[in-house]
Amino acid sequence: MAARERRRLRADSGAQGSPPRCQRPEDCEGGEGTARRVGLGLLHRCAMEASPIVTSKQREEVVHGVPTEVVCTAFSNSVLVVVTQYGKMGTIVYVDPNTIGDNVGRPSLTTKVLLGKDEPLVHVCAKNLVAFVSQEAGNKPVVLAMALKDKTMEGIQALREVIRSCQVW
Amino acid sequence: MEAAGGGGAAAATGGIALHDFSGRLGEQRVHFHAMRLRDSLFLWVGAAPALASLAVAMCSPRDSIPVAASLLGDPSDTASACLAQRLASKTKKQIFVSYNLQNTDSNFTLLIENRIKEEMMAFPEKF
Repeated sequence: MAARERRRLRADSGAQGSPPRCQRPEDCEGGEGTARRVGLGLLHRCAMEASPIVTSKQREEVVHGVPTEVVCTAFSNSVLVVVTQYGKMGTIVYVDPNTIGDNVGRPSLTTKVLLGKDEPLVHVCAKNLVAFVSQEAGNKPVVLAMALKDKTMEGIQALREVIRSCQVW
Repeated sequence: MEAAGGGGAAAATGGIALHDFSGRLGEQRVHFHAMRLRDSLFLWVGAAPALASLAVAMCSPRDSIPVAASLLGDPSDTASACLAQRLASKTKKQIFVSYNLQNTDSNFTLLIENRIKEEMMAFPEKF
């Protein structure tokens, strides 16, 4: 818990008289058991502030005139990349580096559409967008969710830079 | 607050909101990672940071039970799909779930579901 937050909580509880206690102390890791009034009841803030187990980075940018959101999340066995110009998950593609390379040292990538339109352009866009992610993450597979309005070469290239700015791998 | 970080500004503009939380369910600490998108939600559940399965569910006008499909992982493992179905019927949204726990006992998954619903009540703007 951030010191500032803790001070604020103390101040809150001081104003109310007795400090609010956590309703589920068995869930607390911090030990303080201080709770915050949220909605209908007290929530055990201490438990909720256990640091996230997965890291995410997110960015909103206007790419070639199209508002775009990118979220990258690192898992131990893969990377999840969401690139959306519709605010939705869109087409989900699994980009898997083959263990057998193409003899130049670079593993070739297999793309599989998990959800959505399975057409050649989807495979091309997917490879173009996240091949570098897979490679830089140590040849991990990438789960890519993309909903693109602009699928031009220039558009994809610009999107790649936005993905790069959300590096979590 | 660190736990709800990342999505503050985006939530205000209706963009993607990220929300992390956890809970001790039985003997286990279970972590949750939610990503709210437009009319849909991605929810990862696990004790270790692996993404081993993925399923999607959404309400159907023809059926009272939401339709679900397994997208990634062992198709015979229905834990992700079941949880996605239950959350879809609660929220009426398209739900993506990645359930990455060994324990798929119905009592345990009910605890998981309740923990999620509790968080949805407390932070409706994050879902």
